[in-house]
Amino acid sequence: MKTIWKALAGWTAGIAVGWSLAGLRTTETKSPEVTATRVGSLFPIRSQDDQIQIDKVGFTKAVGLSFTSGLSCERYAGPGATPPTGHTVFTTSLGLDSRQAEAFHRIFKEASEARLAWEKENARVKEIAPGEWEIQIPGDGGTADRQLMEKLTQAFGRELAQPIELSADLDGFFNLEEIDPDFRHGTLRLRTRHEKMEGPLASTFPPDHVRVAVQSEDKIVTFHLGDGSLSGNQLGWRLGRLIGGDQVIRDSAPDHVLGGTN
Amino acid sequence: MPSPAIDRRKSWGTTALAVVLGIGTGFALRPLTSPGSAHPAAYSSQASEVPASIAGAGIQTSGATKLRSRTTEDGLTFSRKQWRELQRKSPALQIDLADCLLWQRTIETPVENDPGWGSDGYSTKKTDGGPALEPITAFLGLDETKEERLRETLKRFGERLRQIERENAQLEYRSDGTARIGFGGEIASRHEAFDRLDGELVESLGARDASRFLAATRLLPDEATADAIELKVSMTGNFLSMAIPGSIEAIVPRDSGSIPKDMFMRVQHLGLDIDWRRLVEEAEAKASKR
Repeated sequence: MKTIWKALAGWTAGIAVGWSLAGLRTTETKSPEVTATRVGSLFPIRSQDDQIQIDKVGFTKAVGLSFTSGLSCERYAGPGATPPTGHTVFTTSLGLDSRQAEAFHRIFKEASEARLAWEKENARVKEIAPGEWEIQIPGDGGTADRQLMEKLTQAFGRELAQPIELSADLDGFFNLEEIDPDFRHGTLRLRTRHEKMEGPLASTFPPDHVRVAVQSEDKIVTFHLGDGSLSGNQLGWRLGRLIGGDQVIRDSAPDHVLGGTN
Repeated sequence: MPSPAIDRRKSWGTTALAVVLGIGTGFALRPLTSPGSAHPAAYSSQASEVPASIAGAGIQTSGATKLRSRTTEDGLTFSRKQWRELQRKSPALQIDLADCLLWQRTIETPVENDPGWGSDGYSTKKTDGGPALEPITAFLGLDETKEERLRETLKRFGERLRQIERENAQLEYRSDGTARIGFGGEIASRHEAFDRLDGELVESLGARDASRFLAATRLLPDEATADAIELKVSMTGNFLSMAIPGSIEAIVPRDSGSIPKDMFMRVQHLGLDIDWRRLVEEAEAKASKR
């Protein structure tokens, strides 16, 4: 009888020990799926078989965020914006701590600088008329995308790199989104003119007014240099670098008279 | 007859065997009883932060949306191409609820004063025929039959909701620059209209596309399905802001003398005579007290 009780006690104790050992075993096993969702817990999104899965609340956040945060190449490497406006919103939404957010910023800044340097070296610029240029930006075979993704994976692991990629629209990060969110390479025409107003409205018009129009196929984007600097406009700044900067554009701009007496 | 020493050894041997068997049982049992079975213990505290929808087998809604219908019970699935489009061009996919209620189409045309030098603004025109469905049907890849069914579904929904809201709208001023349009005892009918839309979308498009349709077009945000429509006028510095949740907020200089009430399409079908002037005066009085 005593033996049965001893055996029963031993068996129970054994279960407890086995239970704990099983716990120890599982702590050593990493499940990528759980890690991925944990990281994206503020932003539950994942990709499986090339399908993006997201819940409804996450959807509203993710789509809203891609507009409000506006992660783009010029905002990381361009003048004035370090870190860019949407950066903190984005890293907070992804649940990154301050160290991760810093690494995130460094990676995006370096990738942006590298891409813009590549563009400067490889874009073909031709002046086709006074104040008018044709700019050809070639494709890079996906090198910029690939390198950025590699760096993110190195720094954050595959599990975190994926929610970042999906919610940051990394495919579009290097695009010239002001022309078109899908525009990465192709031919653009940049025209500029120095506008002057005559007639009754002359006194209300800024004295030094340079207008720039960028055309891609049938779409035209325009902006003004205003204070004489391109840095206020991201697209202007990015394309201006390829031509030779603000001053070249200003100096080449032919005069154009608006208004008149009638 | 066995000696007591042999008996003791046998007894300890049995116990040892039981312990070993017990360890095996415990080891085998634990993973089976853990929720999600494969979740590592080290991640358990973090795993609890994972929404149930993700931790489980499928993605489900968190329940924050007001619609409790078939399409909201599942998560959303998009192809990569669709996801990219949503991130880059989602405003183009949106459908304004007011366009369904008034069965009209809003057409924006760029105004070019100087051809070749870009647009100087947009002119907006309203025409009959319900909202433009081309962007969303292209996004979902719907054929003409489905597009036609979708158009009919939206038209029926617009008529139904317009009638319920128009017949039951009750305007109530709160004397602080805000007002509320409630729908009396017809809350249940309104909910039914939203649920019927949902059910009919599932019938015409299938559950998956119905769910994607509602998410991408943002036809029914929470403000649209809320039990009342709130109107609010507030003053910030020298500017007046007039807002209806879900509509574009109108911000005009205080002394402009004009109230752009025509822009609030969301309440136009109600045929109410909203006294915006009164709301503006109340908002001014409130601001001057501060």
